[in-house]
Amino acid sequence: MNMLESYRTIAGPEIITEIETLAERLSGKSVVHVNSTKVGGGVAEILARMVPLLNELGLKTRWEIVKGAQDFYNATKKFHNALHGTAQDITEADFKAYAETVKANASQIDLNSDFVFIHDPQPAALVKNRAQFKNRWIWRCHIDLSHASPLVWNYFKPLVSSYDACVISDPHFSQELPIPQTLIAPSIDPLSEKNRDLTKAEIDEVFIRLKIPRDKPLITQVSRFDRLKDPLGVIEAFEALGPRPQARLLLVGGSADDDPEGAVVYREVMEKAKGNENIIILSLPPTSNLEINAIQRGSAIIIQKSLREGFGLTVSEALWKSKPVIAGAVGGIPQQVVHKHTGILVHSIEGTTYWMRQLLRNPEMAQKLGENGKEHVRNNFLLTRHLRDYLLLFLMTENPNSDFIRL
Amino acid sequence: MKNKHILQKAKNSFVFYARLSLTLATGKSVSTARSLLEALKTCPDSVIYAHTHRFLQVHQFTGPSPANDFSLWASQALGDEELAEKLGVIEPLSYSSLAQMRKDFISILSRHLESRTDNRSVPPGQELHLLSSIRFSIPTGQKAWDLEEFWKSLQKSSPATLYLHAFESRLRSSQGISDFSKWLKEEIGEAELAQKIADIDPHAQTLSEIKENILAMTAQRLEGGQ
Repeated sequence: MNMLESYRTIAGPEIITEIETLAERLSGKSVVHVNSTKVGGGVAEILARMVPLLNELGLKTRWEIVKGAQDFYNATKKFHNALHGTAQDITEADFKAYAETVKANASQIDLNSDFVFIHDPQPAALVKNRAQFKNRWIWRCHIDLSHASPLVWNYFKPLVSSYDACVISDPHFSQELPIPQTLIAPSIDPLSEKNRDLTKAEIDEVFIRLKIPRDKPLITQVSRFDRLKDPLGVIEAFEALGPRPQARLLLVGGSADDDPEGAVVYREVMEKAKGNENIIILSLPPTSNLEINAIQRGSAIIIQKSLREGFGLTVSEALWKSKPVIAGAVGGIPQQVVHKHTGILVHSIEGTTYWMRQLLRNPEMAQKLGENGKEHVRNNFLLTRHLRDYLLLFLMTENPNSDFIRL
Repeated sequence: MKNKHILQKAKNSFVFYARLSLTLATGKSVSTARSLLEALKTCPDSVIYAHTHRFLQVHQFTGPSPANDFSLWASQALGDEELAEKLGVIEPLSYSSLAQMRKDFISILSRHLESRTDNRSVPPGQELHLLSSIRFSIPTGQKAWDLEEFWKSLQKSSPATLYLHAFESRLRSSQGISDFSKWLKEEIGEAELAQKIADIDPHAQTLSEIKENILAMTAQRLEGGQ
């Protein structure tokens, strides 16, 4: 069975047909994706699936990366944080290291494809070379630009304006630009270890191995130990259920060894949960995809009480498992959680307590939210929809200035 | 399924398309009901489409979901439940023109604001970002020359195809008739079935349920029923 075919029963036969029809229109075209890493991070995870699928569909697709010395990576890390709205100490030397490195990469990377798909700021300046080619350039921005540092955004804005189109994940991330800003949400892969169906035996094995009790319903948040995920607020919300809650709280986070701030937050979480036998704190290595999958499936309610979020795909991961989700109304989460239809949006610790209580008392409502949530993800946040949107995007750049395209 | 007198052949086949769309951010946003009103007066039709038809396609399964994005925003961001109720009355699929729908939104907002002195604003981050849509029509490869082929093709059709031919196509027709109803009536003389399909309340059920209903009505007719 080819790769695309394996999604047919999960995503539905219709979208497979749509993808095949669109791909026929683009057959023989070439695509090059450029980002800064082939391992780690959401972009690499998506491209690892997307590139072979595009090739299978008849689009000759390559994946290239920009490479540089330490000064380049230091500069791009600062740019990334500044575009996310965090104060950074950025100097002329950073811009110089960036410009020179991208220029050097431009002579190494073959950009002579019909579509050049550039991901994030690291390779963005490659567009300075587009005059050499007669092709379409797309910039995919995975960053929330709504609080971007003016210094860095003013540097990137003219570059981004030279593209044919850009892609953002949420309307709140949009900027005033002279090019079309397409909204394409990221996606989850339903066949990955983190999201595939599990048998009851597989779920049970994980719970036994990790010694997670299941005598009461579990309310779970899976997130890094990061202040922006508000783990202390989640504990406070749970404690407000009263001294004898009919549930346990499980906070699952990544290992904090390589993240100094994460280690501090982890200690604070442990301190706050101390003495409460209904709260379980679990630190798992980043490769624990099967474990996360099983924990989400074995939980009664999933929390994602973020205070700030990019897109927050962990929400779609939980919804895909038909779980009722209570989540902070930030970043891309409201796209995934339509309040009281596909989950619950909250704005406070009190709201989180209120809805924990409501969903524990009303399992029918919780079940309906989970069912709706799964269908919402099936329609809007699976890899197949993402692939279809990229094909539509290619077709859009071939038909500029048209808001109705008949194929 | 065989009833020869019903299987009238069409002069023109029905060609099934799917409606797909890409959503664009316009870079503009509104934070009050008044600024929404001003935006609605001048925005392109593609913005009205994005906040009504596209919105429905994204939320098609959730029923009973809000009928349009403006109503949802008024309720969840602006906290103006009265306005949300009023805007929620507008059901996009009941309209045969975007211009008329825009006129009704403007009229509701204008009347609502006449009785208000406050101009409440949403908290930062809760603005309504105005979107627009690029629409694509793609052939699905399905084609029908008679009622039986119509039934078979519809069986294989996606919600995106049903949406286009049963509802959105009303926007293109001067009489507000859908592609399905027009073809069934004019090409194969199925006026009654055409009317039954036209009478379906698109907001009362999901697209999958509507598809099952149309299939059942068509099957009944193929078996000789009315």
